[in-house]
Amino acid sequence: MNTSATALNDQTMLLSVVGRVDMASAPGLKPQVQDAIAGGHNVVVLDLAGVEFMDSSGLGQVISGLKSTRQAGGDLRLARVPEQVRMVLQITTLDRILRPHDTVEQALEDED
Amino acid sequence: LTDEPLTSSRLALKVHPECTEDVHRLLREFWIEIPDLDEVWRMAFTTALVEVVNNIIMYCGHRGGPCSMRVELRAYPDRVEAEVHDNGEPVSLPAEPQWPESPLAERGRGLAIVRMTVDDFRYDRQVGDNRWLVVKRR
Repeated sequence: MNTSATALNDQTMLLSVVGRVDMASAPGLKPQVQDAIAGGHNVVVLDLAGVEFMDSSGLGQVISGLKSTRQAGGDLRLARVPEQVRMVLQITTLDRILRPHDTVEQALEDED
Repeated sequence: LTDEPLTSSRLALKVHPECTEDVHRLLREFWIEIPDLDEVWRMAFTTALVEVVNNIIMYCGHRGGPCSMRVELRAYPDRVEAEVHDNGEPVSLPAEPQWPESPLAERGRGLAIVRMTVDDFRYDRQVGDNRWLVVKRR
């Protein structure tokens, strides 16, 4: 898994994730979210277009990021979510709290 | 389930945190042999098998010694099976899928995902060996 960070504005960080987000790699997501929050970006959009596969460990790290951003008064949102990730979000019903968005723009507009 | 498979593929490996990489590689090569399965079907099967392997990675080495694992994939006219053996500790599994009580729990969904993505999931303990079987109808 590789990630790259792009500040969209003073509050929002776009983290683009590429590769497999699994038991071996997923723990690498947490420091990226923590860095964004430490830099004042309490809204994090995960662009998942490049994700090949996500397992339950990956989901756990995304939930960890969601909790961290919310504790900082912000939010974490999912954009450009591939089919396999949508499948595990649906099966686990996590799509109710981590809604998959087709575009980064839609993720930014999600105020729930 | 004793009929002869159309094709099969095997892998034996030491258990370590990155060994799902080898399982993904095995699956990629296996799918070439059965090209009629669609992408969504393969995703579901892959997700189930990787979650089983994750469970082995997490719990296999409790006695401190090295753990090993064997994975066999078998394609039949009506189904695909993955049978995984590991030499770790016996495992106690709930009879039904169990989800974490908190929707914001960071762990505890893996084996429930397995049960939701395949048609049959079995675990039994053989002599010094855990056997995991996942079956998905084609």
